[in-house]
Amino acid sequence: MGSSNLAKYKSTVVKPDDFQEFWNQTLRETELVELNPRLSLDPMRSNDDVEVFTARYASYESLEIAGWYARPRNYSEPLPGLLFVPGYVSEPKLPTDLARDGYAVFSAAPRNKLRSNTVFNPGYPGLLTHNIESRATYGYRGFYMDAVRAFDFLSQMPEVDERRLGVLGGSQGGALTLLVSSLRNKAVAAASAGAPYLCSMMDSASLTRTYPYEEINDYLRLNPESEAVVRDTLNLYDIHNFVDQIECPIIVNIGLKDDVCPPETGFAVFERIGSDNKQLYPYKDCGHESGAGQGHGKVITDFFAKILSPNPVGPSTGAFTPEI
Amino acid sequence: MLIGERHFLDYWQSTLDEVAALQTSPVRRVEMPLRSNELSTACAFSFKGIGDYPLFAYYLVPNGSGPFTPLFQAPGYGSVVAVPAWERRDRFAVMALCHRGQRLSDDIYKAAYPGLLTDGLPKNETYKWREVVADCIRAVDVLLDQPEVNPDNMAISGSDLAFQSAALRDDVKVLLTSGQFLFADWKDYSAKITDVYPQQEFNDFRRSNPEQWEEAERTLGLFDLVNFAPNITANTLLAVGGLSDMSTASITDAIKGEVTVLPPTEYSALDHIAQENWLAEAAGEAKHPGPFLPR
Repeated sequence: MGSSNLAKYKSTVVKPDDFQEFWNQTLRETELVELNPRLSLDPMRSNDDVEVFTARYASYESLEIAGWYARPRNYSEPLPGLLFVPGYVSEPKLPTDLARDGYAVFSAAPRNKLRSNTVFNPGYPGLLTHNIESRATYGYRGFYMDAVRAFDFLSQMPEVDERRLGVLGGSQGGALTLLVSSLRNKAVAAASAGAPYLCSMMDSASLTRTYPYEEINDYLRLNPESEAVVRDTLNLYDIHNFVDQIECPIIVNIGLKDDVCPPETGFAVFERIGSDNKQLYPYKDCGHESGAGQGHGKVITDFFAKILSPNPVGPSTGAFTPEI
Repeated sequence: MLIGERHFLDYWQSTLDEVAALQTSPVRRVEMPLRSNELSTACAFSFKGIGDYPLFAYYLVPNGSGPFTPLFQAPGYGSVVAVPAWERRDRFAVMALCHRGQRLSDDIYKAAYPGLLTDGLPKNETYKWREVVADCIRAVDVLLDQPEVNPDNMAISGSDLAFQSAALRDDVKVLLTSGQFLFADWKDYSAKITDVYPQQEFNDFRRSNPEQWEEAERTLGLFDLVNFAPNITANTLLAVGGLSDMSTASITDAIKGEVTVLPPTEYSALDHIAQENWLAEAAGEAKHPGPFLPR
C-alpha cells in the first residue's frame, strides 16, 4: 500500500458517549491520591554534568510508581522539563543525554514495568489484554494515569519552569505522549510522538501479525464471542479518541513499513490531533523505529530546543536516538 | 575443542562442563493454547540452568510434519523476551529463552536495567553474564533434544549471546547477528562518556569503582567477542550496527565459517527483510516475500 493510500485510511474507532465522563472521573479518582513525590540520588548513574535520581510517586489506586529523574548538576535558572514515556517492552530510558542538553527529565516506569510491578504485574505479553472485558478495570486505566502523574511530578519540581514542559516517546511512549498532551493540554508546551501505539487498536490487530497487537488476536482466537465487548473496552481507551484535545505544537513520526504499529493508524491519529501546529514525518521503507536511522533524533531535539530553550551543560555526546 | 588463550579456555570449558552435567535433568514442555495459532503450536519449556536455576523458554513448532530447522533466538538485553515473530514461526522450530533475571525466569534473581551488564564485576567467577551465557548453552541442548527438530541444521539468531553461544558449541550451522554488540568495542565505551545505555553501564562502573577496574577489564576480556570469534564455524551474517572497523575486521578475519557483513542502512524495514531472507536461505528454508505486513 502506497503512502497516499495509507493516508486515506479511515479508522473504525468509535468514541463512546461516556468517554469524557469516564476519563474525568478517572482523573478525579487519581487526584484524590496524594502524589507524594520522592527523589533519591543515584551516585553511580550521575556524572560530572548530570545528577540522576531514582524517583517514586503514588498514582491511581495508590500504587507506588518508579521513574528516573535527571537534571543538570549546575543550573542558575529554572529548567525546561521533559517527560519521557516508555515503549511496551522496554525499560524506561535513563535520560542523561537529555539532561546534558539542559533539561530536567523525568523518565517514567508505569505499573507493570520493573520497579513498579510489585502489585500489578500482568507481564509482556499480558498487559494489552489484562481485564480487557472490563471497562472499569482494564489494565491500561491505571497505566494511563501513571503517565499523567509522571507529568504532574515533573511539573511540580521546584527547579522546573512549568511554562516550558515537553513530552516525548515512541511506540507505547508515542501513545502516552499523545495521552498526556491531551489530558494535560493546558500545561504541555511541546510534544513528540513516534510510531504511536494504542491507536485504532482493533484495526491494528487486523492489520498486523506482530506482537503486542497479536495479543488481541490471541485473545479473540480463544474467546471469539467476546469481540463486541473487547471492542467496546478498547474504544474507551483508544488514543485516537483523546487527541482532538491536544493544543500544543507537536511532531509525529511514522515508518511506512512499520509491522508493529500499522502506519495507516498513525496517519489517522495524526489527522485527528486538535493542534493547528502539527507536523508529520513519514519515513519510507522504515519499520517500527520510524526514521531513527534517518536522523529523526535530531529533528526531535531541534524541535524541543526551539520551543523550550534549554541551556546545555556539557558537550553533546552524539545524536539523540529516539527509543521505542 | 575451544580455541584461545589458556585462561579463556579454562574459564569456558569449566562452564560448559557445568552445563553438560545437566544433560539428564528434567525438562517440562507444556502447550500454550493462547499463543498457538494456524501457523504453529506454542509451548512453554521449564528446565534448570547451572546452579539449579529455574528457566523458562517459549518454543513454537510449525504445524505440520517435521523435521524442522531448530532456531535458537538468543535473548537480547532487556527484561522482556518476546514471543517469536510470525515470519519465523511458520518455518522454524524456534525457541526464545528468558535467561536468568529476565521476566518469567526471575523467581530467584531479578536483573536490573541498567545493572545486569556489570552485575558481579570485577571477579570473573561472580560476573553474572557467565551464568547468562550458560543458560543459552543449556537452552540449545534442550532445543536439540526435541523430536521434531533436525539437529544437523542448528541456527542461532541474536546479538552478543547468539555470538557467544555459537562459539561455545560445535554444532551451530547458521548464525545471524543483528542489533548492537555490547562485548565488542567495550573498552572504548568505558573510556568516554557516551550517554548511550546499556554500554554506558561500563563507564558507570569504572567511575564508581576505579580501584576495581583493572580486574573488571580482565573479566570482560573473557567475554570479548573478538576472543570468541575463532571458535565460530557457522555460516555467519554480521548485521550489527555501531561496530568499529577494527572490531569488524578482527571478528570477520577470525571466524572459521563463511562470513557476510551487512551493516544496517537507514531503511530498517528493508534491513529486516534482508536479514530474514539471509537466514532462510542459509538454513535452506523458503524466503518470505516481505515486507512483513499481511496486506
